[in-house]
Amino acid sequence: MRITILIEGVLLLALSLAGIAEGLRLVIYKDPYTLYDPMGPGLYIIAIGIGLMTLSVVHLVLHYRKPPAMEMVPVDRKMKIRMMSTVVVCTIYVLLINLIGYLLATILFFFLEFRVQGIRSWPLVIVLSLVLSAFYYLIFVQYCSMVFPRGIIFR
Amino acid sequence: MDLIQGIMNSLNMLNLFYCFLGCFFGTLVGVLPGLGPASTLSILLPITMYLNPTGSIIMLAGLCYGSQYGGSTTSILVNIPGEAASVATTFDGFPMTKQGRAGEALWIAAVGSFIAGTLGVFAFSIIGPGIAKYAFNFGPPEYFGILFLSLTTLVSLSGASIIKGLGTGLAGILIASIGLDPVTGITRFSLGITAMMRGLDLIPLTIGIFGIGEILVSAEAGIVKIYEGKLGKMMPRGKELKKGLWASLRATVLGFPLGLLPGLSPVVSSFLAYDVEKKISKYPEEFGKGVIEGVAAPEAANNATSQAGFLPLMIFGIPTNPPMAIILAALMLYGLQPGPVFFVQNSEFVWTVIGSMYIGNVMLLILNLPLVGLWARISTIPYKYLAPIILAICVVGAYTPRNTMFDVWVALGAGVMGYIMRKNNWPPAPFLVGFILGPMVEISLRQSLSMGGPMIFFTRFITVAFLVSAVILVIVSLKFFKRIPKVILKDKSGS
Repeated sequence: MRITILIEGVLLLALSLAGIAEGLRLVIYKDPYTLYDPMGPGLYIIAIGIGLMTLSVVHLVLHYRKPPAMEMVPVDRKMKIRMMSTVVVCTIYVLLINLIGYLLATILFFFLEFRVQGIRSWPLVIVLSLVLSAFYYLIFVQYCSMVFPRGIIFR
Repeated sequence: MDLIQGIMNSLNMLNLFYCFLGCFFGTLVGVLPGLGPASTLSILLPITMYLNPTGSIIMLAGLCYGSQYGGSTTSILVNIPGEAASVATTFDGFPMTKQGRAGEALWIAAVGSFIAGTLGVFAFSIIGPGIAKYAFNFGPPEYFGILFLSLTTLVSLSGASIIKGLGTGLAGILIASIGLDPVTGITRFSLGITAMMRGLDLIPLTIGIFGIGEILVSAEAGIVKIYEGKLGKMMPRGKELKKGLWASLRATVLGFPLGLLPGLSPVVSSFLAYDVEKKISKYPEEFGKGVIEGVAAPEAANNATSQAGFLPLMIFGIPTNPPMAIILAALMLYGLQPGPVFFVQNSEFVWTVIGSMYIGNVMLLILNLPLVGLWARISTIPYKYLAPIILAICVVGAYTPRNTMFDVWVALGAGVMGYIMRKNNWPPAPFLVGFILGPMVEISLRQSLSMGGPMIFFTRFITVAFLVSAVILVIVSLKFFKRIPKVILKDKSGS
């Protein structure tokens, strides 16, 4: 629990420092002839960054010593793997759209994701993947004329 | 040409058909998380070019407010908002479902939306021109005042930890500043990446945090079916009915004027309406646990705002949110330039579109009440089939607004972030509010300061009224939160 709070505080602090750094850069390199904008693009971000920094420090100070009681819901390891696999499959899908095009990538995505979600029947997975991909392609690409990447391989 | 004639025109068979199509697709879009009204409007815009201008705008308008209706269905049944304006509906809608009162929640959402939509159109047609002119007296200081007031919702949306809520809210404001500075055009946080110069879009973020994030949480929880329960009785009775209807009326009164202001989307008014209901309630600690006002208010507000958004569009040519901008694009593609002259010279067109909104609201009530079981059936499909379908739609929805894979990556990243936030009780709703309001607050603040320095906020009556109201609301909220045991606040704000 303490480690979680520490990570949360550090992440928030890092975000605030990034904001302050960017704000300072914009203040230092502000166009001096921009008289119509007294605040400039940097001060606002600095103010937000300072606010975030304050909150992260308060969060660390208040909760690190006495972590708030949290109801820990036990998570089945298998389900955790399923969730992480979903993220991996989605990542592969997005990468493949650029590589092999929308249609092929979507077929592969459905195939993998149905398996990840626990559908064991191979024929069902193959049929569903093909039918749904065709449906999506017809509706979004053909009918609605959406322009998806064709893929590097098919250029 | 007047409203009665407009309604008679819209009862033409072809216009009725287009209205029905718009309402149907709007409801479907609202029901399916991942695709929002802006994405779907942009997809359908090329298709509507084959229709006549009146039919096209009637259909697009139907889709716009239809999605407000449909978004409530999945918000209530499965805790996945169909679109951004339905996020606030999840706070009490899903708890009502868990209590076996899904039917009542869906009923009040549909009826509340109908009340708001109908009253909104009525107000539009009666007092529209006068209010629109007054709204143009709002300068940057007044906008800053009302936006500052809207930011107070960060406190009430924080749930058990105000620090976490404010933290995510400020993080949302900071993330929103990525891209081009709205006043000077300088790039911020772009890291030399061209895609980052355009900034992050709201739609992929919403899809990621609330759509993909929810699916990841559900996948980990091992849900077999998203929605397994029965709907329960449809119509609330007695006190519950009265509370729901009054909340709808109050939210309509709140949501309609906000919809007249450019930049204030239905998302903001739905959160504000929820916040107001909680503050005036005799039992605010019950909010988040399944109170009917918590469903009625945001749904009515977002619909009223959505309807009101047509007024600045038609009379002044100002789009108040992305869907309105797309409708404006459609009007211009037909060679119609909205504005005061347009309102007079094309009054038949304008009043026909307004008249179609009355008809559209009736159609939506028909689609959403008796057919709610049909929409709900989508949620009874086993999750292992539904999840990949929704994820694929989320990818399409994230890609559509700007036709760039960068947004799809943003949605995926936001999905993982949304999952982590939920697991560690960091409320995602304040992040969204901060993201939407941040740039608007910045623009109005900088414009105000360039007009007259810091003192300008204290020399204009409306601005002072809004700022004082914001401070009072924050104090009241903080005192109110101190009295409520933290265990009751937990899991309230969408985490």
